[in-house]
Amino acid sequence: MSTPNNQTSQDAHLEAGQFVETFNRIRSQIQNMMVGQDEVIEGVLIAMMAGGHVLIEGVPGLGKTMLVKTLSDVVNLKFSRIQFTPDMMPADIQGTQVLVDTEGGGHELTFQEGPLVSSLVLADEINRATPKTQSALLEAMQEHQITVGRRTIKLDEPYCVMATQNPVEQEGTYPLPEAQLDRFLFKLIVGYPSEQEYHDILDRTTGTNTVLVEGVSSGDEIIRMREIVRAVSVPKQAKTYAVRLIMGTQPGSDYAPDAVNSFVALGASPRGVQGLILAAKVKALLAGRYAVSVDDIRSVTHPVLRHRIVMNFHGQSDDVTTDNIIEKVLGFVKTPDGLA
Amino acid sequence: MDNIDIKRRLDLLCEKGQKHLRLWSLARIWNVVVNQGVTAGLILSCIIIVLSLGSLLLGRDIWALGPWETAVFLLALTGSYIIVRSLWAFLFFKADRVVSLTFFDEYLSSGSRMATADEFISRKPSTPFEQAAVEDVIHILEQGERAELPKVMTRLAPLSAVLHAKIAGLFGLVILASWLQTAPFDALLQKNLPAVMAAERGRDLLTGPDQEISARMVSREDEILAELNKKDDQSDQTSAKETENRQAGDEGKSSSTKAGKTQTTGQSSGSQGGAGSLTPSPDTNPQKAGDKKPQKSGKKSNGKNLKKAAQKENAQRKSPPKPKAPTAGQKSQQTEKKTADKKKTDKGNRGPETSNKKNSPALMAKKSSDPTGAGEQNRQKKSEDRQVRASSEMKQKKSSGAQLRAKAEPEKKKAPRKSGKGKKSGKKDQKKPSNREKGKAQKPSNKKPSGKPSSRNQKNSATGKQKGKGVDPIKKSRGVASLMLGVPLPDRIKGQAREGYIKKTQEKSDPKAEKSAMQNAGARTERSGKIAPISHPVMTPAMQRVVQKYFETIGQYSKETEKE
Repeated sequence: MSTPNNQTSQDAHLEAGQFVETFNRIRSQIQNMMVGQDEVIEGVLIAMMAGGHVLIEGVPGLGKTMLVKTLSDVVNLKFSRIQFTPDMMPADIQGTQVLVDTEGGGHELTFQEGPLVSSLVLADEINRATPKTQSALLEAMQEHQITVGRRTIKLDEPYCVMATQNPVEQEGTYPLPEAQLDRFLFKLIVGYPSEQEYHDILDRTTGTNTVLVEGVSSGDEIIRMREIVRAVSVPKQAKTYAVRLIMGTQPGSDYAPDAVNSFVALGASPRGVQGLILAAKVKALLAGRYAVSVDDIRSVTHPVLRHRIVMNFHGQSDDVTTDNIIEKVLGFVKTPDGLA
Repeated sequence: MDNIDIKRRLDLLCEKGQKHLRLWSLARIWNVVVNQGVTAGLILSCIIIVLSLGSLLLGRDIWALGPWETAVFLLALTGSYIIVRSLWAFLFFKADRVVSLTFFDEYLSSGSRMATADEFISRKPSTPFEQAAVEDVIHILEQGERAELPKVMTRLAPLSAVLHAKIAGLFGLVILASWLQTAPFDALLQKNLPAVMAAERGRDLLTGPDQEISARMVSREDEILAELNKKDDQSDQTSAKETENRQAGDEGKSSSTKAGKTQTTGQSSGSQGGAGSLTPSPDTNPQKAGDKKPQKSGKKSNGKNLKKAAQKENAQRKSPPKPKAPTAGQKSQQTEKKTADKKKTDKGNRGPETSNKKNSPALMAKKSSDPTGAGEQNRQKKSEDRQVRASSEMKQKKSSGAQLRAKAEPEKKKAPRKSGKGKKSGKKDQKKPSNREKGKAQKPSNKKPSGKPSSRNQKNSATGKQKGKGVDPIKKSRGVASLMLGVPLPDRIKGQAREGYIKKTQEKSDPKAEKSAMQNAGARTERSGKIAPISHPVMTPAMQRVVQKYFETIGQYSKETEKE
């Protein structure tokens, strides 16, 4: 076949193949440690490959922290864990100037980096931190840098923040503001394991056997994989569908169903459509395609949009969840040029 | 395989898909076609309705079809448009290229590879991944060429609620347009229209009660005239002068006459200018003068009032004037004015005197009272002054009657009496028909102390449409004055005398010894006073028995021990 760039298409084939292989390798290592939660593991990996951050919500004891810790071991990334408390200050996570003794008997100020300066940051129970401390994460998550006084510290790539939230103990917590929620690419819900998974958990964790994971990737490979993801092409049909989905979550839009107009106070922002496309690219690569399809976008709609939609009082009083709204939108927005 | 070959094969698959999607395309545009047809039917129905109404108003047959033909025409036109448009779409409408390839992708579960490749080929792949996406469709093309496409669902999409409403509206308009072509509608309108129009022109709007009032006034007038004729035979000359003056004033007034007499017809037209009508003078008609006071407040003279009343009555629509008995000169003038008044009264007044004359019950009453007409002539000659008096009284009654007419519709109960009933002044029914309207014009103003313009306006309008407005309400005071209460308050409140200053002075006084009785010392005796009360616990009867038994047991025990 005569093509403008024969090598480039072959390179695309190779790169896509490498991406899928690495992805599967990382996933398999994590699955050696984690029992079940396949969707959560895939979601975490997709978010990482797409260059986004993840918000994991689940009751205690489901392995949220272990998942992130295992991921850091598998991809050989610098890992730091922050356990948020209500009395935590921004300097506690960013770093601060510390007075240290010098050899000559003098003193000097040195900057002591906080746990935020890392590659893979686990922010445990982020909703327990004060809004002031939560806002300290905003710059790091968006700009991949932190500014302390006059010092600006560039964070090493790949940089990924994985925050956890406990949906049960909401007393004394500070719900994340919309500006911060919008910076998470995915919000994954961790559920209870099945009965067979309980048995597997017991076998793995209460016996003498210890499970070890191997480092199968590195930070550079993750960066390379992110570049491959961004190279995936998006046809016009998929782009139009993604845009209509986002517009369908905004009340008053032409593509919004009645449920959105009734129960939604605030719809998804343009960050939502960016997240849809990036996540759909990863899905397309995993499906062996080189372009995004409408099905890829549909498959990532829930984790991308469930934390970007704000319900109004009617929705809250009627116990309408964001997942219900997303289902309505998916059913209402038709595929462009489709047979539906 | 290069991109050109891929493009060619995609084109073949696209054509294959388009042929298979023809019915599907028709189903997609069904709603649009039906909407267009129904809209066209609605517009055409409205046009036919407008044409039908125009033909009825203009009296011409613009729309020639009958009711059934109209309905069939509209429905057939709408249906034929839908059918023709649908056939056209079926034959010539093609599914979009993307739709056709997407159909293949969905059938083959290829994940939109064909549609994506087609798009990238059309705009030339610019990235490696786009080229890779184009090359990725090759194995799918082979599957598509071999595939036997299933039958596409051709179920028509349900019509929307708006379209249902449009269809219902179309049927409604078709029925309306057909009904407008029906014979009963035409016949009904054509039959009644001339009569309605004639009645509108010639009828006295204040019918019924006003005619009755006029009839009664006329009969009463006849009686009064008869009485006056008997009494006054000597004052013909003076009455003639007075009548001349009054005629001038009467002619200036618009008066509704109850025809039966030529005098009344000439006078009752509310002859403006009053040349031929009797114009009573205030001196010769003390009744009028006296009547004027309660009737007309603020009016200067009878003549002026009569003129004003006549002008008012000409502008208003009033009941047919009462018949008068003018002189010969008055007759000629009255006839002239009669014609003039006819034109004027035709506009807004209550019909011409001729029509009233012909149809008024007053006329019929007078004819019945005086069929020959000789007595009327005698009265005209001899009792001009009595006519003047009668006319003045009739004026008063007219004004009251006009007032009644003004209130005729809401106050029909009050109306069926002669003029003067509604009046508080209680004037007699002696007015001539020509002065009736004057009196109507006057009386409301007399009755209403507040405003002449308002009364006149009411009178002018009362005959027509504004009956029932009546007297202006008493002006209510607004403002601070209405807020004042008539509560007497004393200017001053009586005060009370103060106690005054309390002056304290200290006086020096020497201590004085108190005198008391001596007491001798003695032994302390026993206490003789009452001791403090000792509370006894209230015990229940059971406890009392227990305590009693306890002590008895103790006593028995002690006795036994002593025995031992």
